[in-house]
Amino acid sequence: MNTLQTTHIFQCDDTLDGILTAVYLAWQKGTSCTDIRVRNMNANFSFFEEIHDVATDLSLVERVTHSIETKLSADILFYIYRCALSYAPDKASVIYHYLQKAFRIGPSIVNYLHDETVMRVFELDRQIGTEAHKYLGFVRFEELENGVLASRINPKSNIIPLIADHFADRLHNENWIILDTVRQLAVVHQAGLGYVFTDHITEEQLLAFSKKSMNEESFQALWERFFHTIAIEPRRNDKLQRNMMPLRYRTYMGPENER
Amino acid sequence: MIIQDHMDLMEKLTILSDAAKYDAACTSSGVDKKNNGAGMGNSKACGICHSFAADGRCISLLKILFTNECIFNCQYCMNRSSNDVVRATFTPEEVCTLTMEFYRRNYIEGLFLSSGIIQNPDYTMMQLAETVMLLRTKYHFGGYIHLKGIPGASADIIEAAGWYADRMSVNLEFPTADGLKKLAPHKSRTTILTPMRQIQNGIQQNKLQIYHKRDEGNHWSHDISDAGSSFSLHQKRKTVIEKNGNQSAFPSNHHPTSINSTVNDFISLEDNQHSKNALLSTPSGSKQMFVPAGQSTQMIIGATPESDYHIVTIAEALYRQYSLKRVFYSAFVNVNQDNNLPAQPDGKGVPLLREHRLYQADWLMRYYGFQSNELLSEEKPNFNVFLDPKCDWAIRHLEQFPVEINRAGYYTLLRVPGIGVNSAKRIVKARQSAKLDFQDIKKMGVVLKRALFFITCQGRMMYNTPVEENFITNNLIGIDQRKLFDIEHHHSYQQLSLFDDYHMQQG
Ligand code: SF4
Repeated sequence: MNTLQTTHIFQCDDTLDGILTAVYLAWQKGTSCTDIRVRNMNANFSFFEEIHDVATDLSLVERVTHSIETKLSADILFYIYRCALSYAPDKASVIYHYLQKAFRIGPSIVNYLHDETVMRVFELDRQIGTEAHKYLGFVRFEELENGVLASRINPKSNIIPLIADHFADRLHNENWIILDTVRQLAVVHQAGLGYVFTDHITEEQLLAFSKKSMNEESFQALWERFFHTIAIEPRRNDKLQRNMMPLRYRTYMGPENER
Repeated sequence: MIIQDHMDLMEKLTILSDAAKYDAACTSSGVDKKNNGAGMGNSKACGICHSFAADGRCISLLKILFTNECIFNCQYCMNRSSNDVVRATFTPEEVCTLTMEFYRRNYIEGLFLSSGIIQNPDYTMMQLAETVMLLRTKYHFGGYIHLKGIPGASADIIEAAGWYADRMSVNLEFPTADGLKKLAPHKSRTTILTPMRQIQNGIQQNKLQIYHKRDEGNHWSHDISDAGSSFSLHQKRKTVIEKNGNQSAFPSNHHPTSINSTVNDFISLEDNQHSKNALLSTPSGSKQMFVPAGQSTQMIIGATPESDYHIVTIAEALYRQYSLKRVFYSAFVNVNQDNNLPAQPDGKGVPLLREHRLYQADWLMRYYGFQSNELLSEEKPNFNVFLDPKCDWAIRHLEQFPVEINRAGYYTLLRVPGIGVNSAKRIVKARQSAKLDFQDIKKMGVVLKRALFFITCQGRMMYNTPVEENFITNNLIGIDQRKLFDIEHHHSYQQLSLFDDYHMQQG
């Protein structure tokens, strides 16, 4: 094999649809000389690469998802969906290689944990699952004057799509919004109806949206008091607290963020 | 008693959350419950932590007492009637407001409501019942509610409350009648065990009702999930349960010891008519489910002289005879600096390590198929301070090791130090398609530095280590700690504050 062979890199949008479009196009070109990558994600370019910019094409996405669902399983599709939300720079490539192996082996691929790619997908899935789970608890809402509950988060991975259902069920009769300030992506829920995802929303826009409600300060103060009183002071253990609730989660939390 | 009339919500919250902070609680309810569309809230089987306090404990519930104006005089409690502390009492509406507003802001998963005894047990239980009823029917709260059952309260009031709570618990406090008499003179085994049995019977009866309703073709959307139920399947298979439910026979390999009979004398209870017909009626507006997340209890560890063996035996018997979901331990803190109680000059309380060991053992009994008499015995009644109970067990059973990763059964893998439920499951799956090696299982979550002494992969041990007691013990506890280990065998847990920050880590 010629080691100087050019690799064709298919560069795509940072979405599942983008990645699956690239998977389709790269596959067509031949799996031995291709790889895929999310645009602007990891930039160690090499001389022996030829970059192809991929425009997301839903008809191609449709074909790929159809084969995953029929030849593999719906679970595997969901697995890949979650990985596509990850912040890991290598995620597109990992998904590509995972699918190559999966189509060779079949649905039992999920058990091949000794395989490096399968393990990597497993890790990405676990990472994002852990972060999403943490945010189910760490999201904080503030009540605005117009009754809307507003929250800001700054997750590593794009976890908003994974937590929206939970809050839609829990706060079914409330108007609420959760904004990912890193990606400027928000989920907006309307009482009794449902939610939509909206992008290009900045933190400033959210803050300018409405003032805090009259009671907001006092409930924050009550919570702050509770947070401090409930700790058993002689057993103070900052290290344990930081392990369980790393600082990066606390940016928009109240008393937890004082230091 | 110092009672202040005009106290604002902030002051009450301060006093009544401070008074509740030693209670152990957890929301891993084992129940998934969707919002019903009308109100606010749901609950998750897996448990969600909303914050972590400065001591590192998870905050998931608004944990408060309804009142600390208590007429009882439990020695270990800062709210005992003989203490001169500021007293406060919430109104049911105040508790509802705090719960709803905290819940909306996603500060909490629900409410944990306990209480001192105001006026008398019945009056107190009535206040608690009213509070939870208001929360469910007026505020349409759908989140999690853990409610304390008040010892000595009448059956009908306990029942009324049970229709609105997810979980109820009556604190056992101490594992002997003598301990109760000395330290909780107003409580007795009967006033504690009677409501416990009543709640157990109520839960069982309610499950049957629901089952019959299903049979009649009613649409019943809730699923009673047994996930997180007190004993693993393995354990269930091992346990012979007599037909009439409550009393279960010990497995045949369970030789009766004097601890076993002491424990049985203490916790067995004659059923009276009252508790047998536990459920009177289903109130309208309730979820029609009686204590769906099951019952738990709590014991205070270290105020009385019982051994670890005694405590885990009690816990095991409670799981069997009262179908409890969880037994919680609360490391004793001598808040009153009372002479009758063990002195704690450092103010830290019983070493958390002991509490930690008991939880590890609890875990092994509930999920790993261990029995109390495998972990401890009358000859060896306390946990090893330097080795977790599983390592300790493995070292005492070296004849069963090493085990081959590519062949050993699931339950055998579970008994290997460093292999947990998740990694054992992954191994069993992955080895269907390949021969596994050390690096493979490391990626699957096996803690090799512990497991390596007990396993082979494809017939090889990782470093050719001898399967020999002293060698493995030395390696597992580290050479430095060895000295302390020797000291420990003559003394007690008390000198171990250096391990206070040791936290849960399931191997
Ligand atoms: S009943 Fe006992 S433990 Fe409970 S508040 Fe009163 S004195 Fe404290």
